[in-house]
Amino acid sequence: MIPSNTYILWISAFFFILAGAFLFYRIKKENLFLLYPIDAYLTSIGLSFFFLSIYNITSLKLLLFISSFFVMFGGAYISRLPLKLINYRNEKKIFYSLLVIAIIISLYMYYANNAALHMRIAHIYTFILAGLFTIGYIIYSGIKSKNKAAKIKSLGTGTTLSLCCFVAHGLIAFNMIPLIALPFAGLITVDLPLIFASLSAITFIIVLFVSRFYKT
Amino acid sequence: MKKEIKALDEDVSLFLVDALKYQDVIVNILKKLKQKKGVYVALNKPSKKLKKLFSSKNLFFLDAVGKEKEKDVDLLTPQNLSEISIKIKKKSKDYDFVLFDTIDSFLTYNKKQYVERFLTDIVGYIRDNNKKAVLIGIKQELIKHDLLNSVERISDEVVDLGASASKAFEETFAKL
Repeated sequence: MIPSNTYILWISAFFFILAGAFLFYRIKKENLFLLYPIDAYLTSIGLSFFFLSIYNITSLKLLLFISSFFVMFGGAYISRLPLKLINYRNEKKIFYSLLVIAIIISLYMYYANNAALHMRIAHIYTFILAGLFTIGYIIYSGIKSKNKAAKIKSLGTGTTLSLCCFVAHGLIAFNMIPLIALPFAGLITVDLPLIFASLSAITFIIVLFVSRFYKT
Repeated sequence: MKKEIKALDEDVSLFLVDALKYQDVIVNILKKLKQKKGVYVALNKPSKKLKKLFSSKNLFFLDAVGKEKEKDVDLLTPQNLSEISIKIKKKSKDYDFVLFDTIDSFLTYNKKQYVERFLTDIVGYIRDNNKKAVLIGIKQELIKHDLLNSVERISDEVVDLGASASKAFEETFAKL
């Protein structure tokens, strides 16, 4: 029998892949090549959820490591957006260095057989790169921007993505998963990171859809 | 200004400019090169209009925007990089420099990887024949299309007169 939270993971993965596909379509249509890193992040997180859901069914531990690696890959890739703008000359070198770090950590954790720690490190890594660095840059640049359309759209993008990049990764990274007491059910773990991550993908799709109607 | 003049001594100089000011930069560059004969690859404005902006007696125009062929003007199809390459190679033999106005405009008609290959090939040819290449590029466009790194790699001197990278951020998000 398939565990119930697997369905939630599949739904989340679906929304992330959908958000990635929709953004990819917009990038191709409007030549928004600078936004490829966001697209790669959304797809990576979608794949991470997918591998996690398959792990739930098969209990094959390798899938758990692959899932955490995709979280790290997404974090490293999305940081290319601010890097391209802040330090375009060294952007590729920094990105490949971050990727090598992610691969080394993932391989080490796999051979040390510590999936829980790997997941924690992956989320701390992505919290710093995606949540603090990238989303921080998008929101800061949005606030600073004098172009009204750019300001609204970058703040909208930054806020919706922060639900996943900042809140969801932060909750797992710092082990802040709450428990609630329900009568007759006892203490139940609320999967807040998954809720915030799914909300992030859904609201991001809405922002992408609505933003088409707001022209400069 | 000193850096601009110094850059023109090199075989391949790249000028990163702002979209609103690029015309002034080109006028200044051509003033410095007025003693030399050059090929002007026009991808933004027709040669007819450009001739009114600066003295063009030493220039031959390869025009991708205009429609009239003249004694000192040949027409280009901007999508056809092979044709452009052949014409530049043929013409540059009799001239001292080739000026590209502007390299990012190739991206409007062609994929990034083809533009990258074309620029590497043509700049290599110009260098091998002891001529000068002056590449003009709108900085935020080159950042947006991820072409800046490779163009910098093939240049001997880079003069950055462009807007800050935040302009590329603004333009991208405004279009989203």
